[in-house]
Amino acid sequence: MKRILICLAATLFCASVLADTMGNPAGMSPDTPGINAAKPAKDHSNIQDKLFVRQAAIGGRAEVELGKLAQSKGVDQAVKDFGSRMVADHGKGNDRLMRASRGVNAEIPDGVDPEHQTVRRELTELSGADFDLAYLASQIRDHQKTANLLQWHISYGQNQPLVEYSIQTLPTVMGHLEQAKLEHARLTTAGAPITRASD
Amino acid sequence: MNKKLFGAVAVSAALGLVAISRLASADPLPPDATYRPLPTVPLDVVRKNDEAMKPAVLKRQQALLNERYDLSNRAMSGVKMAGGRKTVQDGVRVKLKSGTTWDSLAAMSPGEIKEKNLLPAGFLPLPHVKQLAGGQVFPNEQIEEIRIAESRNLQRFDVDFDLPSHLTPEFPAPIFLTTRPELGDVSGGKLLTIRNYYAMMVGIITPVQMEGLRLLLTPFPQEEFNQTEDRKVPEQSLGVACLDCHANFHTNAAFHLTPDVRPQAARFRLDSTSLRGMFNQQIHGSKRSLRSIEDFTEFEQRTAYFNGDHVSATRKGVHLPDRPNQVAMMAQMQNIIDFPPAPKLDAFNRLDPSKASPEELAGEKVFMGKGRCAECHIPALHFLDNNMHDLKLERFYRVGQTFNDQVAIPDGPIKTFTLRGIKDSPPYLHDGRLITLADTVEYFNLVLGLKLSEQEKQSLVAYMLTL
Ligand code: HEC
Ligand code: HEC
Repeated sequence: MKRILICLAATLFCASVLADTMGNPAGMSPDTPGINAAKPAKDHSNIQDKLFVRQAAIGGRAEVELGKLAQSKGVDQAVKDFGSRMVADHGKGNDRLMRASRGVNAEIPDGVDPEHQTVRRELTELSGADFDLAYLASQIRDHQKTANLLQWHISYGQNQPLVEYSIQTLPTVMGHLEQAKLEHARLTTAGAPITRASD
Repeated sequence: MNKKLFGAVAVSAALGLVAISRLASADPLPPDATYRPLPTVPLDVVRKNDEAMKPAVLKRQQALLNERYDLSNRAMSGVKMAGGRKTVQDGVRVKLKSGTTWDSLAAMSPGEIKEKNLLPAGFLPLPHVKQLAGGQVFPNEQIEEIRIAESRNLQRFDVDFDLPSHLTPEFPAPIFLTTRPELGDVSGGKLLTIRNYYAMMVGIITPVQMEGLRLLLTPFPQEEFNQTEDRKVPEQSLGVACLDCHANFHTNAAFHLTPDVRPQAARFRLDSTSLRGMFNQQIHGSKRSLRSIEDFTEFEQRTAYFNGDHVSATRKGVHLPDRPNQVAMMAQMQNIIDFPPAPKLDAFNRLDPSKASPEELAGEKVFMGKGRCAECHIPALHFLDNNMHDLKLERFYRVGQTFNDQVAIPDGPIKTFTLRGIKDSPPYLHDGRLITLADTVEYFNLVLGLKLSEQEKQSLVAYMLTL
């Protein structure tokens, strides 16, 4: 509890950090140490935590790969910039994910997953404005998916460092989604607002 | 946009070149992102853990509430709710971020407020007392009355109600009938229950209305109050009655989470609405926009009761009222519930100048003019427009932040609520995030960019007290 109060004072992000005594009430797995004594271990992980690490790692890796593609193939400067931002933000994010998931013991497949391999192949075949639009469209879908994945993990995850990771990452991902939507709208609709998302 | 690029986009869009693979996503989210998972831990263990966590859960919610609001008991002198039993709370209760004033905020652009993180936190979506568990939470007064009257337990073992009782509606609320306006409040200051309704209402309502009333007071299994191991009360429970939340057809501020959103962390809190004057509404539910009271009554068994999860409902024993008979009767009973009397209003719901004070009249002028309130809250339509509006609060803050396990996402379109009898139904907005009418004035002043003066704000509050 002390920790929440400090958080409240310190930053916005961790205003929501789980109390020390809480595992996740909705997703607490039956094998949680201490559960029968009503002292569930907060660093225990459940199935949702493991699945989350796997999916988040796959997604983050693909964002970096596709971002590099956008840096080189994009025509519109904003699309190139968006690609750079993906490389930087998701690169950092992936490192943080690996640190946060140390105790979780998740299985992460190697390389780019089949779904993103298809996307990458399709994008490679496009050029110019077609590439820009298709890249942004794929980014909208990916960030929708990642935002939902993070919200789902915040809902059902149990491992505290990992839930904190999700809580801290979500606003950034939703910022990316907003920016991808704005850039896509800018390139496709005459009436789109000129202002950019502030992050 | 550059013309060449635009040309290219137009051509390729026409040829369908930009279409990306149509395959279904390879790794969709697991089913618990939408469906309620089956319990995997025995009830006695769940209960022990929930009870052990309860103090920390409640303390965390109190910390959030105290950070956002001034929760003190500051009654307005001389202003009572319609039954004359509870005073209306005074003043703006949402706390400003340090270094700001309401006027300095109003002078800033939404983007600047967002950038500098200056939106008062009390304007943000309000989390459930235990967001990740969610479910129905009743105020202590309701719990006590039902315990005494029906020996039915509405007290959860994992959470308590989180607002102090001076910030909730009058309890028990008065009941006004459209069919018998001359009677005034027919509640006699008592809470309607399955044990007393007949004696209270015989001779006042029709047989069909009486049967509707009986059904509205009959408990049926619900997500947290049922007979399976997935419940939040120690003993197997008979369930919950419609009027456990819509107490005396008004609201007792019981809350739950919207059935309309997933995943769990993104669901917004729902403050029970009053059923007064519902006969005038064309759309029901803050998001669902159901088109009749019959539809809502029928579907409330899926939504308020089971979070919009018919799969879980089937397992726990859902009551599906028979449409032509039971639903119709329940609806007919709800349809005769009137607003409390507003003696200063005429047939158009405009103030009668011979009865209203200069300040109230000034408030009406702001409401109709500079405040633009009447563009959505149309007086002759009982302050409704039967529409949903997106107030776009997210212009003012960074979405995706998590507060006590609730992820703040944009509210999106929400139906316009009536303002008749509004002083009787705090807290305000669909999730109860605002405590007083003065808070609602500051909210709309900012969200609609009105730049009202202090005097205009006060007159608006004075005006809303007359409605
Ligand atoms: C947890 C307390 C709770 C219970 C129990 C409950 N409701 Fe509701 N009711 C609500 C809330 C909260 C809303 C607002 C829903 C929304 O905004 O989406 C609502 C909305 C309604 C509405 C629409 C009101 C409007 O202004 O549009 C009707 C009609 C209604 N309820 C009828 C019923 C009936 C009939 C039952 C019993 C079958 C019932 N309710 C049980 C909390 C409850
Ligand atoms: C664009 C349409 C619109 C305008 C203009 C508008 N409102 Fe509203 N009002 C709404 C909507 C929509 C809601 C419900 C919002 C929610 O629950 O998030 C609402 C809710 C309210 C509520 C809370 C009702 C309740 O039962 O909780 C009050 C009070 C209110 N408005 C007062 C005002 C005042 C005063 C003004 C003018 C200064 C105003 N409104 C202008 C649409 C509008």
